[in-house]
Amino acid sequence: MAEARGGSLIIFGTFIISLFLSQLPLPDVLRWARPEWVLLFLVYWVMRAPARVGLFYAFILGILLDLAHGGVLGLNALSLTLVAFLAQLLYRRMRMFPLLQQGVVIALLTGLNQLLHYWMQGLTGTHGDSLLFLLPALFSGLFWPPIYLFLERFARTFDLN
Amino acid sequence: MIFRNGPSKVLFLLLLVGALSLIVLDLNSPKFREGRNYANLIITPLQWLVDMPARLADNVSDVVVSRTTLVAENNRLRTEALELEQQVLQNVTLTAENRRLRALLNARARVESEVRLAELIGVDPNPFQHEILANLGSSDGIAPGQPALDAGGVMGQVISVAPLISRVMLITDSRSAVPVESLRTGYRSVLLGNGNPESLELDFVPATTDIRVGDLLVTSGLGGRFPQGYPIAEVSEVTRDPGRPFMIIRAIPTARLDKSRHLLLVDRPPSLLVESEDPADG
Repeated sequence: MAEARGGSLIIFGTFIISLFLSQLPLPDVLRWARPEWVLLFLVYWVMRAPARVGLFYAFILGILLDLAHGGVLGLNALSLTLVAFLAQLLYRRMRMFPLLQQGVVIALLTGLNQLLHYWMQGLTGTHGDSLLFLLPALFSGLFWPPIYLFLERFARTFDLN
Repeated sequence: MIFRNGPSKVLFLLLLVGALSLIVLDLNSPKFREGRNYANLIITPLQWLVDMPARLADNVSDVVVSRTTLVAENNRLRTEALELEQQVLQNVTLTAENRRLRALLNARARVESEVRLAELIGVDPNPFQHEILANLGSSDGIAPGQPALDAGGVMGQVISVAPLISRVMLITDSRSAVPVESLRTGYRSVLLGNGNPESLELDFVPATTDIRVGDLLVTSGLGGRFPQGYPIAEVSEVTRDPGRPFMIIRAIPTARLDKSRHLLLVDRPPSLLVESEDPADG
């Protein structure tokens, strides 16, 4: 099953890239305008290779993201596991939607992710009153089509399933 | 994992409970947070990787700069070094005089602090938190609670350490509160961050307080965390609302929080450190 093992490495490689992208600092003006890279990649792989990338994978990914972020440990584990669960429920139906509509679902999933972060921020500190915290959800939805297409080409090249 | 019947609800609930218990542990147990610092070691390569493009660009631009620019910068730095040396000379006399005067008043002598130079290797992209990463860690003797300064003033304090990297919370973070005093009048208060990267606030300042725009706020040293006398902010707004008992005071940080690449980490005053029994302990 060397092929299978190679595939898992590739998938893990793309997640490393998503972690890298999530840590890139942006200029102050754009600080809310970032898509949730790890979440996007996670939903893609749950849709594409549900047998390889499941709830436990999402949990570990969330732990890594928490460590990278320096925030409350377990927060991203919680939200990414939840998102992976919902993706597992929805992926069959989502595969039939056009990309733009899929983007809407992604935006909603990211919105849920953002909401969890916002609540945790409220619990442990103060937060602003604006709805800016939902902006990453919008951008995640917008970035979904190109990321989907990019990763599709990737997966097809390595014939992953 | 069998997939025909849809996602495993049992596993989901298990992981959910696991994540929630991690959150509760992280929020409530300082020991857990300490242990977590070791887990940060896993992430260190990622953080170095993220910093690499910026460092590469810096190194390249260092090599490519013209000789004329280098000579000009060299001269400017020489002049600056000379001026600073002259100020240091004055400083020595002032310190000696200060010590004598304190002795006259039978006051305790000021504690000199050791500083370590660190370099900024990352900025936390999380917009809820104002944190930066510095390239000294627990293996260099850095501990949580140490203040961080730049050339302009106080930047923040170390809140967590990994063996090679430490995390500094800036004063503009909404969790930050620094005891300060006005240099002009000696009025003491607490400078709070509110998540705004350019503005800090003083809360509960009575309307009769003598405080003006332009007043320099320095650390008061109360609370034992920040040593006394470092500039931290300049008052930028004083609003007296006749209907309220307290004024609204805003201040701008003196440190160049978004531009400084180098920072100084100050050792905690020795009286507050726990002395280790074994002299072999580093």
